[in-house]
Amino acid sequence: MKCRINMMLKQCCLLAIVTTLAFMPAAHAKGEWWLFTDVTATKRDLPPSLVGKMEELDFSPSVALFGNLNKGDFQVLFGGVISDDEAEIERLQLGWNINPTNTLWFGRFHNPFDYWTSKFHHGLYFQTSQLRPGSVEFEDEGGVMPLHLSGFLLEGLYPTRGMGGIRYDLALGVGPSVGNSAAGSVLDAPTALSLFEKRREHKLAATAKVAYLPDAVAEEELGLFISRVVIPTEELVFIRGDITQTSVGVFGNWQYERIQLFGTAMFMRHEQNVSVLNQSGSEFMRLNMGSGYIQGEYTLTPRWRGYARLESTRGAENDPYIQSFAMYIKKRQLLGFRYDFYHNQALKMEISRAEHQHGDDAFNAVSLQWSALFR
Amino acid sequence: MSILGLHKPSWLLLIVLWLLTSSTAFADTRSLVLVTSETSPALELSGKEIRWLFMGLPVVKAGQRIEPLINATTPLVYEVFLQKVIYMSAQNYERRLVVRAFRLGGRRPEKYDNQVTLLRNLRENPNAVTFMWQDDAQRQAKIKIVTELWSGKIK
Repeated sequence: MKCRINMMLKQCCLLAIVTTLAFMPAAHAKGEWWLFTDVTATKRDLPPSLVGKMEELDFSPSVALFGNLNKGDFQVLFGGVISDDEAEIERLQLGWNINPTNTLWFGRFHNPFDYWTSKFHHGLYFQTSQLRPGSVEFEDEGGVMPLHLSGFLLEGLYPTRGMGGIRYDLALGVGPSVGNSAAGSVLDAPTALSLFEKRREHKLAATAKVAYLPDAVAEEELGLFISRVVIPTEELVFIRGDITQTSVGVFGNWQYERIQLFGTAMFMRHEQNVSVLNQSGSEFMRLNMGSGYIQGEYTLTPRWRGYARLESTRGAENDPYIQSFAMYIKKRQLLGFRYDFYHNQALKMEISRAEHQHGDDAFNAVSLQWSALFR
Repeated sequence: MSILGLHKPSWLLLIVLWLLTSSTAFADTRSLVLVTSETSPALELSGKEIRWLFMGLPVVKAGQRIEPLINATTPLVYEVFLQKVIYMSAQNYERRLVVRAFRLGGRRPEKYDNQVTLLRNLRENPNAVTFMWQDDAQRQAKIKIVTELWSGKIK
């Protein structure tokens, strides 16, 4: 905990130094700060196997701050979250606009793979549903993918014929390592300073993503990504050395009048050395799995929207890496309604049925969330 | 009771018909134009580029990034621009700009509700463009019309 606070303080100092150096003499610097707030109340109908492992009645408030500062060809993006169980700097990146179509970022950023994280980040108000899909859940919430990287990110958008465009993202940096929590294994995401740490807790990660946008000013897109990350596993007794995780996927967002459909399908490979029971050696295993989600939304009125989502993971049953994440959601079906009111506020009502990695008993949950954006 | 030999239902009907038809006669034909500073080099922008520009996407001409200024000095000019040029409601447009800034950072186009400030910034920055009614643009000094964006009747 003390180490975590120290790291947060270091990151805050880094943010202060970067922003001061970049913007102190700037009469023309532009900046904006937004505040996201949300409160979620959840009632779970837990089977006996999960009683004590999860809260039956959960009430969780959180606040997220987003900062966007610009001066000349440079910009800083900041995203921080404080909730009942964490305080974390989620995004801290310094960007250089190489030219109007390409930007090079340095710092801690969201891994640009997939559709969900690139679009919604930590802005719960922006996502129609309350919950993120399990396959792209954040590291400290039971996720198994590297959602935060520390290093360099190059991104750009090139116009094509008509109104279209091609967007690309290339990320190179360090990814997470496996740590422990009360709920089992959890990924420890790198901080903005991880790249400079002497002790290499975090290892190489790279992602490439390309997407075609039929109308660059609209939200429809179709894309592909490939990501490879080396994850140190010192905390896992049954895995020796590092795990190499490779994921390849396709994602898309399609809209027609009041209907919107979006989702991601990905194939993942874990290469790992697994300890052999009662022996000193280990066995090299290369295991494949697939996961994905699809969400459909229907705009009933300008204020009301109905939505449903299906999530599934296949082939993870024999994967020691996935098995160590007890809170990973391997299956979920959810149905919900969102009501937008006043100015940038939303109420979301959701019912879901989910299955965790540990325990084959699915459980139902009903939840209500208020989320807002103040800017 | 009868007026000019017509019974009450008949003249009421006539009044309604006159009101319905006369409303189009009162409709105002106006043109919305894209304007820039008098000192700006010759500028040609396609419909696609104008839409990209005001959605916060980069548009470069002669090596310079064009800077869009949103004219919200009257609700009508802002609404007509969004409806007829960007093809979006104000709510949808503003949400798209916010989501884009949240995802990718960068500056959102500046929105002006004061005409004096809008015109001052337009005149001072040769790479800036904005939109306004053609008759307004013709009355202003040190700005020039780049292209007509839309023309039609406003009821």
